[in-house]
Amino acid sequence: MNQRVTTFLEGDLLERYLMGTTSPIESQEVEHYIAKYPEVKETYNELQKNLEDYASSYAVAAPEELKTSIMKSIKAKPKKERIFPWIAVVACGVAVIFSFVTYLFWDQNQALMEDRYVYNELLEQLSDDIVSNRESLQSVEEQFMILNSTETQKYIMRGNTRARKLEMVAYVNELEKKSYVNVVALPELPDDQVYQMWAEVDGKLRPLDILKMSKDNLVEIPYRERMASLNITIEPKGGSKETTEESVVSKVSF
Amino acid sequence: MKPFIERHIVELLRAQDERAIGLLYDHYADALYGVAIKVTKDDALAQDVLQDAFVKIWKNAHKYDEGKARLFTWLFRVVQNTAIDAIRSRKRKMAKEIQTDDSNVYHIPTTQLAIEHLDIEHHASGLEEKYKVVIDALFFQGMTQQEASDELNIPLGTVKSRLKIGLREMRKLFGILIVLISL
Repeated sequence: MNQRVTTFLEGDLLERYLMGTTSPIESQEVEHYIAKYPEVKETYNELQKNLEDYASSYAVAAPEELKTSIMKSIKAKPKKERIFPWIAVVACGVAVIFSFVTYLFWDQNQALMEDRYVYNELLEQLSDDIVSNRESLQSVEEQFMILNSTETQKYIMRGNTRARKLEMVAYVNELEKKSYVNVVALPELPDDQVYQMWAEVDGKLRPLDILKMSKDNLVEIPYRERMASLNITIEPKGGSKETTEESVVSKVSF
Repeated sequence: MKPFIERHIVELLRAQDERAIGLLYDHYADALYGVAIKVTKDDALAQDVLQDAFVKIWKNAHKYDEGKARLFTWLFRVVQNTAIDAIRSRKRKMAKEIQTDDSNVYHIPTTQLAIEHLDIEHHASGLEEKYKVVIDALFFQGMTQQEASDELNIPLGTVKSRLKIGLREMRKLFGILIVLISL
């Protein structure tokens, strides 16, 4: 016989298993031995038979009326089963209510998440606006500072016979090397023509900007060193790189 | 037992057929009632135990695993546990009713039980008393081996060996009885 089987059978695990006093782990061990070793299975079967014989030797006639009572008891059991569906129904009801409440919370949460997204977007926009406004304010403050400077010269420009209604104010600060124009009135031109500004430098007209009526009253224009005069001409759409004195409709000399 | 009857009863139990309980009672009630009386030492309580045990057997029929134990072994364990629970419950109830400082008032030593309750005459020619006392303490009093050792005032190793030898002797004894009956 296998040494392990001999050792196992010499112990009391099998007897305790028979009496149902083994722990779950011990029971697993015993069941493993019973399944694997035929001699253990045989011994276990003998023990069971002995138990039955030994217990039967103490047999006492059981009262017949007890049998009737037991049969009544087990017949009464199905009544309990009838109660079970009600418990199940209540449980289902509770589950449905719970699911509904959970859905409500989920839905509310989704709405709040959407609101949060919208508010975040709004906040971002406002933040951008603040930055943009700050920049604008800084630019206006800068312009204001330059216009108020004692170094800034103010020149009024009016159109000649070819542009009678043209009126413009030019500001030039030689120290800061900045120049601005404020277009007060600009007569309308055909679609294929524009007003262009020129700076006279060293006797030549150098192109500056195309003039437009702007909602911003004050528009910065490029500054040229040694600028002797500011000129406005009428040019073909898109502007020109060169012009002649004949095209000038307004001029102011410094 | 009769293997065919045993298989038939198990099938009926699984099918929740009430006839299973009738057949169980007819074939096993006497032995199980004897076990209940041995444990409780009270006929009325033993009847209650047997009734409760049969209801448990009916309700837990699905838990019975033929591969793990013979039907009688399973029935024996249900009756034994029900009886031990009934005794403990009665002791607790009595302890509540009569408060006493002496905790040993309701303690009945197994050695006394052996004299009062063991069916000595019936088994006189059978198992030796020293084995019977150990087997009864473990089988019918629901004691662990350690508890039996303490109660019977014998070493744990002796309890173990007497249980093994007692069961082995029983095997021989019943073997002889079966041979005699069959002659």
